[in-house]
Amino acid sequence: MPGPRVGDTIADLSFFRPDGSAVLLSDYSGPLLLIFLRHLR
Amino acid sequence: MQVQERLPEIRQAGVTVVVITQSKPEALSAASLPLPTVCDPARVAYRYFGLDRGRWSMFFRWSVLLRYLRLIFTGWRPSGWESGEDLLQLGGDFILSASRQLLYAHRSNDPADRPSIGDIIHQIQLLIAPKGIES
Repeated sequence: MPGPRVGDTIADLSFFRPDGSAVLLSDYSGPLLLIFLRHLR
Repeated sequence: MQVQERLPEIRQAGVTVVVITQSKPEALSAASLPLPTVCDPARVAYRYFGLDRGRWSMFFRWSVLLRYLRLIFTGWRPSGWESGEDLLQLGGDFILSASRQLLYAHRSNDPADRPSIGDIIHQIQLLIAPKGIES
């Protein structure tokens, strides 16, 4: 899957916080820098 | 990336950093994390953003071996993988506008293929805060 291109609008994806609660991209305000790690450690 | 050291510059531009890992929440809560981190254990967002799985052979590329050697010389030690993590999953870096438009995308081709924090800040300067921060 190629993924979104520059200029595309990103879907409101859901993640989990360390406490297990859900958080949406829309819960953050302003511009975002998303850093996807390969692994935690 | 040494994001933590440059975090004030990023925040000055009004940008929030969100680190995403494929670990489970319980692994995150046990780790000491310097940056706001959320998890995506089903890797839905990884797939959505088009982040590929690599091949085992990628670990034997010179650039990857050199990266891990550099990390070891700076004190990092392999400490194992969290349960459920896909060892071949690759990472990436994305800048989104406030309206959630994708402004910048870097999808890693191998574990060594990450932009420097200087490159990221340069992109933020260009795309979000043309006059806001110094790199």
